Amino acid sequence: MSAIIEARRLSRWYGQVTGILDLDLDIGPGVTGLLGPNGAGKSTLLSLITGQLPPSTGSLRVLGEHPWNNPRLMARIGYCSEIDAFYEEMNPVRFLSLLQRLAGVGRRAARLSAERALEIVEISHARDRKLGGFSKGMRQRVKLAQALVNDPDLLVLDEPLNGMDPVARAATVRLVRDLGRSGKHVLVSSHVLHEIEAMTTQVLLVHQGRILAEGDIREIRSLLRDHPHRVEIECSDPRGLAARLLAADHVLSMSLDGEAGKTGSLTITSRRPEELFEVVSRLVLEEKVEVRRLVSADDNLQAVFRYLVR
Amino acid sequence: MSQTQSLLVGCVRSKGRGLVSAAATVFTLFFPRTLRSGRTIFGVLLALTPLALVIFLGSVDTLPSQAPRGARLFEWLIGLYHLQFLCPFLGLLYGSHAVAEDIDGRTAVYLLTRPIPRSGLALGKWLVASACAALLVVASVVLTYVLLSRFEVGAGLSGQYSLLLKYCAVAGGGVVVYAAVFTALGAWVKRALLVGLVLTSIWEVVVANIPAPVQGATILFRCRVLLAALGVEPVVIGPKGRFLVEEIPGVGAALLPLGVVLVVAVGLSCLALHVRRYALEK
Repeated sequence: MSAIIEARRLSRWYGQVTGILDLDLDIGPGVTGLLGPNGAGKSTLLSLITGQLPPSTGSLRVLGEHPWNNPRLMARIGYCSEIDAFYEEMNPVRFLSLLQRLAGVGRRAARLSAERALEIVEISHARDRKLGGFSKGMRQRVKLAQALVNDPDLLVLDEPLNGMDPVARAATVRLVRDLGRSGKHVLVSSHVLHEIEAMTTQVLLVHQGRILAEGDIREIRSLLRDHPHRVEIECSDPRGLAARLLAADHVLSMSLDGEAGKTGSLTITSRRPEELFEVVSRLVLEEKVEVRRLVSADDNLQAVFRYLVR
Repeated sequence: MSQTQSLLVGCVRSKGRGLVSAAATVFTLFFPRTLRSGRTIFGVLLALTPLALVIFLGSVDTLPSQAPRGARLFEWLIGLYHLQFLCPFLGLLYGSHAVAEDIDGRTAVYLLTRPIPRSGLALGKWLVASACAALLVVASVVLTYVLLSRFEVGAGLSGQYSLLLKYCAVAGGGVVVYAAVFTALGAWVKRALLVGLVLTSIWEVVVANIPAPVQGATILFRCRVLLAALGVEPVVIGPKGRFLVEEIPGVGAALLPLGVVLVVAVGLSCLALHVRRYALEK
């Protein structure tokens, strides 16, 4: 199947600073995750794709067209920006209707589509309230609604889960997956690995303006499988836990922090963290060890990138 | 699956639009919003100021014998306050915010990612600024006329509708040109209100009153020339109390420089939206 987004030797720099460098890219249909730490160039790439910036060099085609200064293409794209700004005095129906009418949709159709979009993002209950009084999570949902309101072929979502509560996050993840299933193309960016993992298996890893890896997220996971993970466990009996794990062959090192007595935390470096989690779960269930906190310090994207660029 | 296939049913896609239709829609959507903004409250206060002055002059028992009265007093008020002060400042107030408010407020992203020509956005925003500013200026001129003609100090003014019409035309036209200049300034420059304020104070207020050829490069001077072309002697303060013009041109010739400034300024606003990288400014 042909690519939805094609970039050839695409670069964008701001004075001396490089945003995107010499990118060759083919993004296929369906949902694709754009992963990268802050400052990796994700937003620059999304700004180029949504026609807000022209490339410094190279070429970019979105749905077969050049995006810069191309209003016709904008009718097929829905963009949810990371910028948290609105016409604060408006209610969401009026805001979305205004954007639809600006695009040439009639008054009644604009209003109906606005109401439908708000229904999709489950915020109809606040349709008459001013945007200025919305919480961060509600504002995120309105931004998502304005991206959906024009029934786009391609949705470009820049960190859409930022500021959302867990319920809204789950609903948005479900929505993105459903949109993909219904034949829409979605490009969604995040710096949180598991957020993207929940939405799609197709990912693009961006780092310092370049594509570091692309493809199935499971392949990237398998790349990481042998990479030693650091896990921090805060529990009622860190010494007992350490003693139990001493013989496990996947454990490379352990260190005890906190009080020498019964409470404190244990930092473990394991080659196979899944096995470590299994042991901890068993101890919790069978021996009633109280685990207060369990953090996989290496499960964040920064760690993935540190490992991949090494 | 059937449920997901109908996920966006009810959402409507537009077919895009041309420049004029886009500008007209921008005007329709943003004019009421701008008119209700805090800027209008400030603008109304500025527009009402000459009325307070008229009431004061009307209530004073004796004015100095050399003080202007009747139609001449009306011309003094409009010439010195409306043309020299109200037009540039209302043009600045609305024009400098027309495009800039979406850039500074970071709402430009919603407008620039819609299927609408960027020139249409600039044109529509200028129309909004012009309409708001012109509405206040013309209303102020008319109210000044009506109120002044009710007092003894304005005796003889009543019924001079031709004079009123000419001043309305020049003040309304002038403010539209100012709005175009400051819309362009707002589209290109950050803190356009401040830059515009300096520009207006120095260029339009001071330079326009210097009896030297440089005054020909001000919008105020061109408005005065237009007024003269319409058969009204403009009121000018300055060392000689008059402006330098060898020969009073015809109305068309007087309109030409204002038209050129207008077209260039609107063109620059459109150009700004095409070439400036607003996404970089976030």
